[in-house]
Amino acid sequence: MFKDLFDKMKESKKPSDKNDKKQAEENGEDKNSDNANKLTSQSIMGKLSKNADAIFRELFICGNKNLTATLVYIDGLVDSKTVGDDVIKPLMEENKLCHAKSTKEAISLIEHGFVHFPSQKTRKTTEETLGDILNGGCAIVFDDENIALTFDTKGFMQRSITEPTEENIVKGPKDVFVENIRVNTATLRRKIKSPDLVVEQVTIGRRTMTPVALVYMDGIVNKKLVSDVKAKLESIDVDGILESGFIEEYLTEHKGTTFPQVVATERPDVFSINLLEGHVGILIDGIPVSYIVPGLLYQYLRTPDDYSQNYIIVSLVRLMRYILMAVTLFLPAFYVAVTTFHHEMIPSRLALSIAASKEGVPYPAFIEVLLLLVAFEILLESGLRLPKNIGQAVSIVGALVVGEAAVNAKFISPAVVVVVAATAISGFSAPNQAIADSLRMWRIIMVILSSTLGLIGMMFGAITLLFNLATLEPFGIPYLSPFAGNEGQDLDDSIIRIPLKMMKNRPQSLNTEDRRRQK
Amino acid sequence: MQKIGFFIICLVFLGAYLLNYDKLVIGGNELVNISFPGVVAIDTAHDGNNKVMLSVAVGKVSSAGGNEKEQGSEKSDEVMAIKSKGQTVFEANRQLTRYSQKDVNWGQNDYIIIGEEAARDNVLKYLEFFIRNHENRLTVDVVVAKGSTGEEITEAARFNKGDLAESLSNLFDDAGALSITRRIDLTEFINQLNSRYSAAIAPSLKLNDSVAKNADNEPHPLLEPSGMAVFKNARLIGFLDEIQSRGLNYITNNIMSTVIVVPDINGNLVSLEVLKAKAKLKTKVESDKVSIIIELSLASNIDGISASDDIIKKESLKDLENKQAEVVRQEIESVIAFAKENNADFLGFGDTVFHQHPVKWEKTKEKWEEIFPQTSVEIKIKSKIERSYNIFKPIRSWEES
Repeated sequence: MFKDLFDKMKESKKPSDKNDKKQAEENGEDKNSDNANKLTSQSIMGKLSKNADAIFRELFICGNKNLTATLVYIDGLVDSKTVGDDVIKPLMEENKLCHAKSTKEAISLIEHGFVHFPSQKTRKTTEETLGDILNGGCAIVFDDENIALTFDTKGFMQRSITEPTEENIVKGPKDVFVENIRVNTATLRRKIKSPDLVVEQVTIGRRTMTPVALVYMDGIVNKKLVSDVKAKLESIDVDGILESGFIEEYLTEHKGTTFPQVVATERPDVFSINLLEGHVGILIDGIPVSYIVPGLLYQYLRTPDDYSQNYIIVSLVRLMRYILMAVTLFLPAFYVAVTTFHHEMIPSRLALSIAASKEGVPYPAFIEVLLLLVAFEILLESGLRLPKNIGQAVSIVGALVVGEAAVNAKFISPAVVVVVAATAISGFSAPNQAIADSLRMWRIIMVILSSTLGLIGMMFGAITLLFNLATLEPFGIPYLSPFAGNEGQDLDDSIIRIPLKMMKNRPQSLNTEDRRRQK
Repeated sequence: MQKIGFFIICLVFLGAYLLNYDKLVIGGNELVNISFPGVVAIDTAHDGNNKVMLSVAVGKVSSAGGNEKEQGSEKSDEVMAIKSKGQTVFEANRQLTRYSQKDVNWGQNDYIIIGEEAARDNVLKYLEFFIRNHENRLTVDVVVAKGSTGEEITEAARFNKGDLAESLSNLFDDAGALSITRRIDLTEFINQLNSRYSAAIAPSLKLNDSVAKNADNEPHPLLEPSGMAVFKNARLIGFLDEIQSRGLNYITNNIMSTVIVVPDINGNLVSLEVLKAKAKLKTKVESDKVSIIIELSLASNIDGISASDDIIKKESLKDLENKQAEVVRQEIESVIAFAKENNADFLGFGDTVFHQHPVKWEKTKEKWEEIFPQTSVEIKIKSKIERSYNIFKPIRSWEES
């Protein structure tokens, strides 16, 4: 596809640069058209000459006019000092190069270390060379031999590794993924110093040419999973990968659900834990978030802290998380069902106080709950993307209006405010907000169902939800595992966590090559 | 396009559903539109065809919004008493909704009070509704109003300015300190009534206006649990007094705690707190004769000495133990005498015979009416005074020595 583009660009080529004109005169028109696909400084210029930030510079190697080469790089992407000191200077001053009799010999000498820059590649096509240049390298193009030597002299400004902003933990490492994919793979290599850590790279995006790395542990991961994910990645044919969602949605196999099937994390430690379990990780250049496939339900309800705290406490906290997820899903529906249909289920005193709090409120409980849930969603949505200063104002206004004024004005009863507040706070207790977000729609469905048939309706909703969850199989692995689909194994790291010493096996559902993680 | 159409139709239906929710939803009701009787009193009515009167104490919904203005006015009663009459309980129940402006939901009912007159009539007639109705809980407690109608008791709740169900609950909880009565819920009561060979009992409650006076120096009626009511063939036949009720509780192992006051060697009163009372019935069946041995093991603490005599001695403790046993024996004998006199086996003797001699019971049960009054009862009491922390010498006990 790049070739086509190249050809198109070439047709409309109008030499504007002095260099360009000079080159054109030297080479002659017909030679140029003959060697349309050959790698020359001319062909690269054809692609880049319109750009103000593309720098072309003719060099005489060691001052020898017979040994000419063109240095090409994009200003701003390279570290100029590195280019000057480590590439140009040796080319000019290295004695051995001065004795080179032909370009070929010079190339060979450079390839074998006389330009003492560590990362060097020999390119023979225009596409490859352009790729290297656009990735922050500099290229020395030898027109005679149709060869370009590229040096990885990346040097653009990038964000440093700061503390995580989205996923905070109490104990544990505080590093985070950044935008640069190479920094991210380096971070991983520093955590997993094993040759089995494989970082395969594919380029996705017709125009953005974004490098996407497929990361997995060779010898642990199921090869079928890797090939599936790779096929999925390679089948993505879009213009650009600029936001995380581009990849995330393409990797989501089941579209008929609200539940996330790809775990997104900004933490290299979470990423590594999952790699070691046998998941496959994906890193995208330019996005400081990594992805783990397949995303299973239990992954959204655990935190790295779970492995650094006392296992009894962790088990209780995890149990609480699961209960809170049920609370955030069912509480409003339960309230509607109980206050509308099953009055005898409420303790007498509570029934009286709820009734008292509803005195004078015009709406039935169902409408009240629905109104407030929608109001909560609105508050959440409007507060999310506003500038920080205004965001606070929204939450204050929201809290005052909903919590105080609406109650005093008898729009809604305080009991409902309490119920919806408890629902919201329970939802925020999820370690990964993706799972809480996926329950938002279901929560309202449950309320509507329970308003028609009470608890029976709510149970219909619950069964539908469970059915939906049970049908999900991202990359062939049951979404509900380890609770379903693997004969009750792996429950040691689910709602409870047993001591690490006793966790001998990797999750069975991932069907890893190496089942045991410790003796 | 079809999908958009479907979506729009869904939205329209949802909108219509929301707008007409009150009319569309079947079987549901808002809490504000429901009154929850906490206590219902059943009485016999003498009003033409209407034979039944229900009086309910409904916890009143006060705006608990926390407005300071409303808290200032304490005039409003917290409990409303509503009455209705009907030919049957069910009809009276429906009549209730006429006055209460709200639907009556029996789901929160805690007490059924049966007026004495209604209790002397056939009590099943009045209770049947509460067993059959799906809203009512079978765990409601059954109480018999002694010497008054149930209505008067619900009225009294208004003087007490409290939730009648809750004050009754407190009263019966506290009654455990003396064990002069005990709770009996609807299930147990119905099971007793349903038994062919035994009689039924239920706690009784009376209004006592000699204890308290109100601000205007007028007698203020207070509720007082007093003894038990005895039913035979679903009809009230009499009341056990407090002593007899306690005697019954000794036999049926329902003593939580109680107080026995006996004189010591020198005639000064000593109060004993019963810690443990466990009875075991042993039965013997010989042709038409049934003899029953009640083995009661009794343990108590000394909780009060009215003189300075040092009674914490072997002989005096022994004496106290004997006297304590004697008091308990009299209480038990008193209730057995009542049972035999009325030929009402509410003591559980028949059941015990059935459990211990199931084969012989087959013959005995036919003549149980005749056999029961002739049953010989032997009471064996293992009386003990525990040497607990309370054993220290009385104040000024040096005077004696």
